[in-house]
Amino acid sequence: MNVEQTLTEELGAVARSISTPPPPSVTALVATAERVRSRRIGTTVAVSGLLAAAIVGAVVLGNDLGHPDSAPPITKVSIAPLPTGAAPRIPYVIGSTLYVGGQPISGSYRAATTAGTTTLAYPPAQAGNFNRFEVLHDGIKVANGLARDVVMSPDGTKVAWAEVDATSAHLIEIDGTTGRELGRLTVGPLPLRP
Amino acid sequence: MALHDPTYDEYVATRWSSLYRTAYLLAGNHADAEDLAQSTLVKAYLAWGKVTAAASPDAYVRRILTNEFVSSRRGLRVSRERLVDEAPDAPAPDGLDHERLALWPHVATLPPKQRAVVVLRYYEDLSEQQIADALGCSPGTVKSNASLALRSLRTKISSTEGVLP
Repeated sequence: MNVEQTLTEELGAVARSISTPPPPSVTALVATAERVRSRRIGTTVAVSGLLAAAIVGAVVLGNDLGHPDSAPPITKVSIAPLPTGAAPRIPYVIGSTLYVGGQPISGSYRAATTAGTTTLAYPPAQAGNFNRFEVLHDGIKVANGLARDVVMSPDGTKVAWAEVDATSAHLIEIDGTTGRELGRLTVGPLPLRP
Repeated sequence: MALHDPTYDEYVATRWSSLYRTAYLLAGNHADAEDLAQSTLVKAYLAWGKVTAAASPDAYVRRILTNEFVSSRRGLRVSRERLVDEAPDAPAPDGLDHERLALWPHVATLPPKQRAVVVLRYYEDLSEQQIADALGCSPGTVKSNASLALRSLRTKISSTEGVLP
């Protein structure tokens, strides 16, 4: 007896001996198949939806997933020009530029004060020129001088200062709006000091 | 096959008996055989275009059948097997003397893929290449499964009835 031969004989005998049931209803088979097909489509749609949601989530979360320290994505923001009002009435210095009425004045300055429409501006301190000042009216230079202390009237129409030279001292007053000298008081000759 | 492509109705009517017998040899009982044959025909309907376009529609459907059997047995092992104290008697086919069947009861104990190889080789009389096509594996895998199945059957027979040549 040979196993392969026996297998062939027995399987054939079993197959011949069984009583085959009648074939199933084709209508029932087709209906079952259509249900399977619908289920597959539903599953495919559901999986596709989940996949799309996962992709969208990944995109929204960006590269921070697994890289918590990574820099955020660069966002381009278009900024419209901010609304501006009237130019400031008080002169100011930014860097070394003096602005009067919002307009830059040529030259370099370190500070400025104002009274009325008159501006007292101080150029940068330089050797031999520490106390230099300029008088401007409506942004136009009308006078300049060299003094440690300069004063203006509250309305800016008068500017006065004292100048001292080798032999005498002068108290000078000018019109702050035109630069015209209004008066000068000279004291001297000053006594020489050892 | 007929000269024209068969309709699904024609195929079911003409091939049901043959399909059922192969399903019975694979499944080992009428209930599972009917389920297996019907689910094969359902899948054949879903892929009917491919079935009729295949060089051999029977070979295509046989492939569906064996894949359905192997994959369903994989699930059954987990979901439907029950532990019992004694092994049940292998069901005797209709009109056959159970005592005359030396190997058939043991065929049912083979792993699904080995059982499929045995049925396709010794009942359907397919070549190793045809069996490989049906199971979606290589001829070498078919050969090794056949060898394991025969060795297993020889061992079981020798332990119960003496040594076979």
